[in-house]
Amino acid sequence: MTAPSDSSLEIDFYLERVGAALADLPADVRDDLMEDLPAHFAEVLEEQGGSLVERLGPPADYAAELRAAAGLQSEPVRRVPGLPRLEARIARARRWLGVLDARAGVAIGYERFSDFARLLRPAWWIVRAVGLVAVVFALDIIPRDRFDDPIGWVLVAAAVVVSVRIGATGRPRIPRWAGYGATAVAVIGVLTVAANADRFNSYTYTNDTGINNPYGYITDVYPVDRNGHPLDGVALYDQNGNPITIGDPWRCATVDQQPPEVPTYPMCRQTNKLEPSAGASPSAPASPSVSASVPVSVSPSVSASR
Amino acid sequence: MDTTQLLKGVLDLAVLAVLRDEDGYGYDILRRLRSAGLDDVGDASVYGTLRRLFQAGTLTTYVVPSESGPHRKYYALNAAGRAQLAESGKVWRGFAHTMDQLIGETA
Repeated sequence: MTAPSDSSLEIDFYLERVGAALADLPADVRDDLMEDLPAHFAEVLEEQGGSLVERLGPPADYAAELRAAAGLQSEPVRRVPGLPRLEARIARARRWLGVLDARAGVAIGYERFSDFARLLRPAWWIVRAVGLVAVVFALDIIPRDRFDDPIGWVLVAAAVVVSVRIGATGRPRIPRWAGYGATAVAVIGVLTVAANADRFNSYTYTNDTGINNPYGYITDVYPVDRNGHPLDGVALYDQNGNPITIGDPWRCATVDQQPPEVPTYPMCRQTNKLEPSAGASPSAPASPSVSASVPVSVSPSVSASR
Repeated sequence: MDTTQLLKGVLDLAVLAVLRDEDGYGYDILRRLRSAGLDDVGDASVYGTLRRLFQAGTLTTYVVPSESGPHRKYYALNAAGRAQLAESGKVWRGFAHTMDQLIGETA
């Protein structure tokens, strides 16, 4: 026995569709015709289960049969005035698509391509859920760095469950416009993820200086002033004022930190090999100290102490 | 031969006949028709026919309140309905006899 809310929702939905198909009738005629239907549909549902559509057929067909048996004229064919050519074009396009469908289908071993595509529907239910969640994070509705909290994964799991349920059972019912809107957003999300896959997963700064980048091996930069004093907290900017991002910021970042947009060099403060070995505190980054064993010039050096 | 076409012509008669001895509500009438052997009769067709017969003045209706669930609207034959039942019944019998004769001769 179905839960009352489920079945009454289904009845309302079916009634609404039947009413829509009879919308051209005067209101009192239509109401009179449909007066007994709610009770009747309730009984149909109670009888043996299955949905109204399974037992009675599509609501539009039900309405047509009801109308015919009641002796009322059949629904006037809706035609947009002045656009017969458009209709002909649409009809032609539909036929052409049908032919394409059949040909493509044969090529992959199915009668129609749409038969094969129908098999992929469950995959789409999952993909659209992921796409929607991707949009939520891409737009920073939830900040991107909280994805692993695990709110991101929880959301994806929940979205997949809801999406599959809607896809497989048709409940809960979504109004058509909301369904189309959500699908559009999901498609955008999927495309965004695909196009920016590298950005979502980037753990190093990318150097856009071309394929043969001589500085690709660099993981950190140690600026030194003209007197040989190592500098700290230096930000580098190029001729356009954009920060220069070079190196691997994740070597030093702690687990829950994001690398800063504008890195300051050296990125890993505690591993400065250039600090003198004679007694200076290794954790005193603010005090420049003379280094005797290193050439006095700004040169990148690979820090191997971590 | 498809019985649905045949049925369309005589559904009025069938519904009137079902109501002759006992009043009924929509779904009940449908069930009686089906258990009498008319499995193909459509849900919507019965409802439409009931409304049309009512509009034509051959049926009366009354509502029976029910404690569990919605109130039911019952249909009953009135005098005009009984007259139509008798008349249509005669027409049917004549027609069926003619068809029997026809088939009997050629089959």
